[in-house]
Amino acid sequence: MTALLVEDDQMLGPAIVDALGPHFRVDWVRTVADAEEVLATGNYSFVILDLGLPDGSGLDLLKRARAAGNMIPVLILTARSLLEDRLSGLNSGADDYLAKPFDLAELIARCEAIMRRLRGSASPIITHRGLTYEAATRTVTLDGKTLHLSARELAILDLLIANRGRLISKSQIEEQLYSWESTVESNTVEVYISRLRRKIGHDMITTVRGLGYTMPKEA
Amino acid sequence: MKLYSLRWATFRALVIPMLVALVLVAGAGVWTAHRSISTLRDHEMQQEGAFLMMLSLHEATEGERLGMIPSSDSDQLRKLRGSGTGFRIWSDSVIVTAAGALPAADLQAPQPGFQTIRAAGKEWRRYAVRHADLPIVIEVVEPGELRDELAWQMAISMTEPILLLILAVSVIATFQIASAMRPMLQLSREINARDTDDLRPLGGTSIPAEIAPLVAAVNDLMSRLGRAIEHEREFTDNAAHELRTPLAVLKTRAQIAERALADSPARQEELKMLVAAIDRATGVIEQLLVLSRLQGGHATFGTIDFSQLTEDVARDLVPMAIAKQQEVDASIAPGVMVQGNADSLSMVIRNLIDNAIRYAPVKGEIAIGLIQGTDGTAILRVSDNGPGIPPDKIERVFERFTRYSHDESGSGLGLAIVERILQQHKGSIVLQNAQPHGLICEVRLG
Repeated sequence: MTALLVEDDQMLGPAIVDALGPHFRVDWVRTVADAEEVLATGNYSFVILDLGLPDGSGLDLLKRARAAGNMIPVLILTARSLLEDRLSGLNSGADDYLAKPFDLAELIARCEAIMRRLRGSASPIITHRGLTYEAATRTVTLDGKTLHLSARELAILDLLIANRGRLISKSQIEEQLYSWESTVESNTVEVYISRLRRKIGHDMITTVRGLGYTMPKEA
Repeated sequence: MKLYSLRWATFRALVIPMLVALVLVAGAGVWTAHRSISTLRDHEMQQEGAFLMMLSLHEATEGERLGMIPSSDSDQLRKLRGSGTGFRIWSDSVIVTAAGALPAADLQAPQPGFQTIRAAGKEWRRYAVRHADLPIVIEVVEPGELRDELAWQMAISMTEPILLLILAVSVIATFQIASAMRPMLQLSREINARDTDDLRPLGGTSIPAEIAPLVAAVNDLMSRLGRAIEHEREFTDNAAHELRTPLAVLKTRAQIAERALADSPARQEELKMLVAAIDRATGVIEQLLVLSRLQGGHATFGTIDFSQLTEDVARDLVPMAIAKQQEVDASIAPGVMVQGNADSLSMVIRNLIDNAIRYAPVKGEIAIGLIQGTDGTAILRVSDNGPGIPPDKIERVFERFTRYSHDESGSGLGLAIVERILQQHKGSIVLQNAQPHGLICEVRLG
């Protein structure tokens, strides 16, 4: 898979190419005109797009591509960070949006997410503090031993581990559970969380009262 | 600047000339009256003379002595004396009869006609008439002060209406001037009531033509000021955006280096600190950006789900607290709606929670609460069990670049921005030290 980076800055362009190079191939162009020319070849899987370009706005490039039926995934990379700007970017047909200065791990993760969606495959094996989780086969191991989790426990684990380090609200977990239960009791989430904790270890999941649950990254 | 009252000046301009005019008119009136009275009195004295002459002749024809005129019997004579007039009847150089207040007599009968004489320290008006054939001379004398007195009486009777007129004009003028001044007072009230960044042109339904140039000049200044502020804002906005790209280069390069140093955790730590510094700089820029948009009036206001916003920001920041092993307790009432700008309000929440996490110790406690007050205000309360703020510094924390503790890294802009944003939203913030230690921040939004 090859990504096209459209970025006019002489220093940031090479920095991103160097950063992403170990993960996938990146070609770098600096203008809207060049981007449109190389995009026409159809050699690219997705685009990392800066908005302020010397010969026009990246948003216009995106709108033209979408109008022409080109549905290539686009990750917008921009100095405009406020909510208002973000909305206009997403409304123009971008798949994702990252503000400068971005976290390198975040950029790589977003690109990988795009690539996973392109491959049509689910997440790979996730390892987290002795716990491994393979979504495709729904296998969970703790310190090498296979754990047997119910479908609901697996659904919750899937949500928490895919978002490890981030806080998941109770309602997000409830939504996940709706696929199995038509009515979710007020304490259902607590019940499954405590069952899950018993199996994978109490410390694995942190409760934040009033906000939700998280699998914290190692401190 | 020398202050003077336009109202008072107008009042004076109106009333002083009126007073002068009234005094002149009154003076002229009294003078004219005096002259008319003199003419009238002279005429009367002539009539009296003629009457006395007739009386004297009548007595003479009756064969009686001239001196026998019964002064007490004649109504007309009494009337004569009552008016202060005196008379002498001369026969040749002998005074036959005299009555009333009179100056000392001359040796001879006076010459016929009118005369003004001085005698006994007073001024007198004298009229004499001589019979065409007989040696009879009638002298009628009247004190001059009689005429002055009459003129004075007239003048005094004029004073009261004049004073009433002055009073009436003053009262009416005061009210008229006050109502003429009202548009100016309204304008100043309008300007006083404005927010500092409200640069809309001054208006009002009716403006006196005289102050229209002033209003136009102020409006012109406002619009120039507005443009200057707008340029300033654009500059800040652009500067903030321009800074993001080099910061992105720095951060990316630092993180590439960090990854390359996987086998040297100590050096990796150095780069992590570098990244943290870059993030801090980014935070300051973000805050400046929000502030400049808010001040430039470019922020979009609308109805915002404050509960959702608080929850989103809290969820975003809580992992930082978990990394510090802090206990977070959130109690966010659902569906609390406020009017405002989402970016700036989210910055308020972010700053408060960020401060709490920063200042609460490792394994400390943080509480986030949102409720809707009985009057509909949203009350957000963020508290921590950190050191709190020294009482002598609690006032200064809202100043830009003031940090209440230097142990922790922070932009120093945080609370100044929070306060500014809340001002724009007509909200308020109260900081309070908790017992035994810690800080409680309470934000209210209407």
